[in-house]
Amino acid sequence: VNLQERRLIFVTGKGGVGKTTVAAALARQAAASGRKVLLCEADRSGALCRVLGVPSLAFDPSPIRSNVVGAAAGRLHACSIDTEASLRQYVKLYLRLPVITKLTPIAKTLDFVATAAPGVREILTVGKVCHEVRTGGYDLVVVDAPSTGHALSLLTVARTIHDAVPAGPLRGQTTWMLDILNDEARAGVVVVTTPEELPVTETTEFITKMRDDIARSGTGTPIAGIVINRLVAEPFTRTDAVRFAALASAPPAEAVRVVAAAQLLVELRDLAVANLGLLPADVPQLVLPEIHGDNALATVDALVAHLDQELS
Amino acid sequence: VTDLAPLLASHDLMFVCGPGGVGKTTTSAALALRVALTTDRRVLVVTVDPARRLADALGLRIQGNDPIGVRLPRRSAGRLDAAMLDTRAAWDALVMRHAPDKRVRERLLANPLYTTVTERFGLSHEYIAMERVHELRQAGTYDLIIVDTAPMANAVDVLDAPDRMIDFFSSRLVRWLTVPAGSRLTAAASRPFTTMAERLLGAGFLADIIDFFSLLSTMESGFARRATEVKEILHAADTTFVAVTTPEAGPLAQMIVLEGALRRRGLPLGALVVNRVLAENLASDKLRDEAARVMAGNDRLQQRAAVGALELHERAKSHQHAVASIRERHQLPDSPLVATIPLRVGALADTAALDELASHIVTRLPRPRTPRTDRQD
Repeated sequence: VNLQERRLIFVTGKGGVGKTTVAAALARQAAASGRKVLLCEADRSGALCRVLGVPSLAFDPSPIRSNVVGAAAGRLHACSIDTEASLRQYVKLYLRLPVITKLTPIAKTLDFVATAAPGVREILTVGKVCHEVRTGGYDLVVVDAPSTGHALSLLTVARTIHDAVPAGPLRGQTTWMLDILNDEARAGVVVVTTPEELPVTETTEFITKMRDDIARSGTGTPIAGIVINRLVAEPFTRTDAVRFAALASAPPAEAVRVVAAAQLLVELRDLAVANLGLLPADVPQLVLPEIHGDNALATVDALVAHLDQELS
Repeated sequence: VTDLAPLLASHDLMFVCGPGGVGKTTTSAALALRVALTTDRRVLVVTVDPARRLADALGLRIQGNDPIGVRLPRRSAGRLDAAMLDTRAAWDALVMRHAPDKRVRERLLANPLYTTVTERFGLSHEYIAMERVHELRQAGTYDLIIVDTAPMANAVDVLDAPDRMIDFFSSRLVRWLTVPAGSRLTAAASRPFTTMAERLLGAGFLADIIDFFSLLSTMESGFARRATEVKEILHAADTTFVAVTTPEAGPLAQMIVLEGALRRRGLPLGALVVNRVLAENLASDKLRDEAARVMAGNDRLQQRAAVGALELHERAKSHQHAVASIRERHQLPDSPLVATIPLRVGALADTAALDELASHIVTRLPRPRTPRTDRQD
């Protein structure tokens, strides 16, 4: 997967596949290798804090000062995108309306407007992301995006508005946003999956939808790659697997349990491989191993080390 | 073995919830099938997003909003239907029912916002799922309805959807949007909003929004009454909740959040199903000791098998540990039942495979009300 030249990466995937962990690993690996990186949380789930070792994240990007890999040199930054704060910033920067005081009663009802008027939440999120790409001076912006079900509207909202709004400031905004989002070489979507049936199906469906959308409209954020997360390491060679099968048909008395367990492991691995075979063959893949243990920070550390090998 | 049979027998509505990808749909279908095969109850399983293989296992292609019969072995006493939620079709039905006249109905269905709001409005899908369940229950066609809910993140939304729908209609914004246009535009207090909204969205779009809410508000009383009724079924005595998880760290953590969410709302968690648990014998010391002996020997092939076996042994131990700690947490008499389904390799090819899966959590079911010859088991 060619991620090195991208400056904007959206990380999505089915819920529960490790999207946030992978987003953090990509950002930390890039920061550790010398790039200035911003990691954005787009769904305010609070999950990013856990993988960065910080108590909370603010709307304004700030350097991560914890001692995790990638943060040490002060090159890793993070923020959590809050649509309300994003609206304030937008109004202040681009509409030049006298804000804060008069916005307060509106902000209270924004939640309803945002849910009712389609795309408001999405455009405010993606607008903030593009604003940071344009003005933040980062080498890379990684977005921990919503799950595949909601990512499509986030990724297409700028163009939808661009096409729907005939003129005015909003159209002007979407024009430069689209230049950033649809930059074939420098923007991209990374879809995270695990080797299980449902995540693989959802990944494939998402990629098909994205590609259909690009084919229909002529532009869009390209699919940069698939990250296969939590693939159990292959403990045996294929030849071994065949030998185990032979061994299992007449197991030696001293290794009955061992042979049965090994056989099960081979079956589980075969199942994972069969599931992964359903992924679109022409999208580059990056494989990350299953990391045992429930320490989120240590898991990301291990993945950063793994990415270092894979990407160099 | 923990048996969910009494829970199934004593309720007529069951919500199956949990994190994404843990096997909620499969578990829902397996439970429904088991009841239909072994009792004379008429069962419906409503799924929000069936995996293709599940539909295959049930031997059908679920399409549209209407329940479809599942082919059961000939002498089964019960009946099993499956339905999928079609959000748009269900919204259309709701508009048909509550719109005061033909003009409102047609204008609403033609409003450009209607499609986007019904399909994308965060609340829309969850509310409509509840609404549909209410409707199916009122129809009285089924003795038991099992609802396979959306994954965890939205599970709580499902629970809150009726309340949020009621709040939504009584919100200041909707009130304001639906007052006559003249008085709204001249009201000094709303001028900054109007200015901003028009600059942001364009005047035409704002007009569409206002029109949409005005039309929607004509249905307010019907909607609000309905939402209140829908809310009541969550708390009904014969409604229960079943949470599904796997013994992995991520889903287990989400399960604790879900348990808390249910508790805070006073909703009863009837059972907790831990799916895809590695067999107990893999976690046993016997496997570990045998692997150690093999490692000390000199058969290279067996040694490589032992390395893999030990890895699986560690995973199995962590699974047993997870199940034990869930059991520990739920020891009180009114605690949810804790049941486990072993990990299986391979597809759920047919109803027999689904029933086998269910047999791990539902063993005995009360005898059918009508006498019949025994089949299966």
